[in-house]
Amino acid sequence: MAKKNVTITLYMSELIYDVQNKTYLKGRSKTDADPALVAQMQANDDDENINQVLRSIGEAFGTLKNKLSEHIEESGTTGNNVMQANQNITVALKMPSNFNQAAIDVISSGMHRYIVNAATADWFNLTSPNDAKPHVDLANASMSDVLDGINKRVRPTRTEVTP
Amino acid sequence: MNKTVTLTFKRDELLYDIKNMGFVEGDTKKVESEHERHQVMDVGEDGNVDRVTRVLDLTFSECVELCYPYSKKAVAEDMAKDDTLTEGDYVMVLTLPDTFSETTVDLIKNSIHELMVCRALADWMSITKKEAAADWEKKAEAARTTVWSKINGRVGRVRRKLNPF
Repeated sequence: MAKKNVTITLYMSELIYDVQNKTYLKGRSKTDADPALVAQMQANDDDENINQVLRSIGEAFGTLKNKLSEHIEESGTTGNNVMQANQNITVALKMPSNFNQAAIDVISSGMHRYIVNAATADWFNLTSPNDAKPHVDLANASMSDVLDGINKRVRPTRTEVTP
Repeated sequence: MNKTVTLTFKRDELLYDIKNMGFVEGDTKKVESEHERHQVMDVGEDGNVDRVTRVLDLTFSECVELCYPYSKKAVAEDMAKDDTLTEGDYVMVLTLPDTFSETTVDLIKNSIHELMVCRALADWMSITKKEAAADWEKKAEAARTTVWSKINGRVGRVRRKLNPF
């Protein structure tokens, strides 16, 4: 059976923007909070901020790959802990021939949501711990969506047998 | 006078039926995660299909042996066999008595196909959906019984009138 190759690319700029936007909006919604605390909640492009977000994205990506390892074939024997802002995330999935390709959109959007929410939860753990839990839950829900999509299958089709 | 009948069981047809029923079994499985479901449905995928092939090979050998009186073949000189996994159609050559009915041949052919499919599914379900395994084994056993009982079937004799006029 020929495997189906599915390549999913997540743009780092989109991931970082989404994390920054979520933390910004969450901070803005805290109208009665200490402005200094609100400012700390809102992730920006300062080195210490972006490096932390990149580290969290890297960790979330690692967890994601681990969960999807059944469908990932890589020959590499080395790894590192470098994650750069200009480095996009690509996952090459080798899916079985009966994989339902209609699930690709759910998988890619679920992967994006998982990484963003995991990174946002990490960020709030440092800057506003009470706001971290909802993002942990959202990340878990996103992971479930990804795994649901990965396991979707289509009915086999009968091919005419030539006598 | 004996007649030679060749029964061919096409691998693609067998696999389609197995995969089709694997899909339905997976679709109706109560699961906590989708992972449990896809294992049932992936019966015909890489790796899994090798197990299915082994079971089909074994079941076909059993079917040939069930038809022993008509399928037996003398052992050749210096015969060698090994257990290398090969994929292909299953061909059974029967040397039948001339009184054997074609309708019985059809029933035997269909029953052997059913037996091979059900046995492969029973094996796969015993791994991925245990609650369904017994049902498929029951179906396989019913098909096996049909083959066994019908292999001895004959057409009835026509009584000829003593007086032709």
